[in-house]
Amino acid sequence: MEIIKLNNIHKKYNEGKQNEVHALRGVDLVVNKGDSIAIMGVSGSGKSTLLNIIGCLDKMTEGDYLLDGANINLKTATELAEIRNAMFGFVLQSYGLIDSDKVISNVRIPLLFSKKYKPSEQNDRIDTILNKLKIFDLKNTKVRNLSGGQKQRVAIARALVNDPEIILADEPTSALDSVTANEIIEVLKDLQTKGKTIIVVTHDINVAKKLDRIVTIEDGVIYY
Amino acid sequence: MNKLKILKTSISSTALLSIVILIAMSFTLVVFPLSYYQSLAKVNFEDMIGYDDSIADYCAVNFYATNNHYEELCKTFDMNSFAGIANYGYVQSEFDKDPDGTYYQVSFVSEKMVNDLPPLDYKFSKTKPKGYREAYAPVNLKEDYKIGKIYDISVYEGVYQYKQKIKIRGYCETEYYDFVCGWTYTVLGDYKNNFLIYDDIPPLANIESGLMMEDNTPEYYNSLGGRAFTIGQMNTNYKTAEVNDMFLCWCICALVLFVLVVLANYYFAADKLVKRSGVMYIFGGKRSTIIAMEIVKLLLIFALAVCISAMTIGIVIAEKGSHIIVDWTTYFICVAIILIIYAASCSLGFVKLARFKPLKAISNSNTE
Repeated sequence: MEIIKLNNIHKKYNEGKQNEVHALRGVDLVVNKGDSIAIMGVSGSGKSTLLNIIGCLDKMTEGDYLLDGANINLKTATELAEIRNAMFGFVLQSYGLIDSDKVISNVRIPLLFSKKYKPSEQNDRIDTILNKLKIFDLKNTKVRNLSGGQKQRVAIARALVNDPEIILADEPTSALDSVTANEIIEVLKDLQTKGKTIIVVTHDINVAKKLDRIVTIEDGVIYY
Repeated sequence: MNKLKILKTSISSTALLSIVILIAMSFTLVVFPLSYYQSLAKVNFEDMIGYDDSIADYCAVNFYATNNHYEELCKTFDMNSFAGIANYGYVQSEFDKDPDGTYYQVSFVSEKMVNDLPPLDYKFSKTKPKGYREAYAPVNLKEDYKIGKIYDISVYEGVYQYKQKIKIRGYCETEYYDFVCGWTYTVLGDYKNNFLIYDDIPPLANIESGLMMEDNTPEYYNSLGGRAFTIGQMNTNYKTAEVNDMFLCWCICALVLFVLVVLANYYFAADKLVKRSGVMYIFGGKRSTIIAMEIVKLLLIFALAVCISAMTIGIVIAEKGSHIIVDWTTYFICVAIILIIYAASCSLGFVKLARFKPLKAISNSNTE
């Protein structure tokens, strides 16, 4: 069952200006529910741009994007915000955590906008996710005091806390040693077994090989 | 509900910043109105009470002679042009009666004052009546001196004695002319403990100051040993005499300090706010909501600072007694000024926040 369908997606930055960059050039991509996909490419190839468009964080210049059958081009800013909250769990490059806050405060952020969990359920939900990722003991620790692996687990906990359909991970292992990186990939794979769709942007072939499908992007064009 | 949560998160995550701004603003909202009032708000934009254009060119003279007796001043000054009050002795018998020990002084109103100045509430007959003189009695002696009746009054004995029959026309309840150009500039004075009598001024009556109703310059009277200003000059000085440079300096210092604290704190905190906003946006926050809640947070800090400072100023105003150091009008003017400065000081950081690009915010500030 198709959950993401991209058709002839183009993305241009600074369109019409001298410094125009054509980051994506007619990308077609279909992702089925429960897939795990690695998007690979060198720096500047357009892989993060593609991830941002999939995650409704950025708008495409041209093309069609169907998410679970709904045309994203027709969505308002409010609807897009709701989609980001309900459908996607983002694992950001270099964690994207707020270091001065506690783990619990970071993990709580998606629940601020959640329609899935009532306020009375949210603390239990956070505890469940922290337990699942084996970081419950770090609940009240400030992020700045955590190791790289722990930070990445917090980032994944934040991505999962609102029970999204799709996990988008941007270079989730780039700042980690190989042992920790393997642990994180196992966590993501485990999520796939629970029916989540996993899309990982990486330039590490060892990480990519552990996922079901590898998509390579070069100069904004996808090669299968 | 979500908005409240965003607001709560925003406040709790920037608690230190908010507290610093709150303290700085509360402090400024107390210091600024106090110094503003002392330096600028007391500037009189209106004329002196009792000022009259028709006497603007005449000189008020303080007679700094060693002997201010009327007969001595007549040797130097043309006292025929003198409009003012001359003081004599105290009414001994009335002093004995008064349980408070108040002294009631006999004072003389000059002819020029009665004839050439507006009478205000003191309506003396221009021609002195035969057999008695018209007078206004001290306001506290209403029981002893009835309007329309004639009383004997005397001061001193022997050659210094002044003895007269006076007919009471009224009581000294309102202000009458008192031309002073010393530390203060006044045209009117209070005579509630005086008998104001319209009679020839005795040679030994004491005159400290008055209006000289002739066409001479202040320099002329200064050259005779007086200290003189025209009423017009006095009025101008009165309007500007209250500006206090020291408080003006404090006033400016308070504002500069406030601007620096807010500008520095908020501008440097903006990066953190941008990152937080970026994360919120990625996980389902709407840009407009995030920005609106930041504005609400800033306004809440302002409102809280106003409450704290208003309580402080309220205590100051309640405690002031007769010595006014601030008033509510000045306070609210200052609140408006501070609000404008606050908005301007926050604007640099706020624009940075409002233009945040979520992905850039995340990728640029991974180490906070």
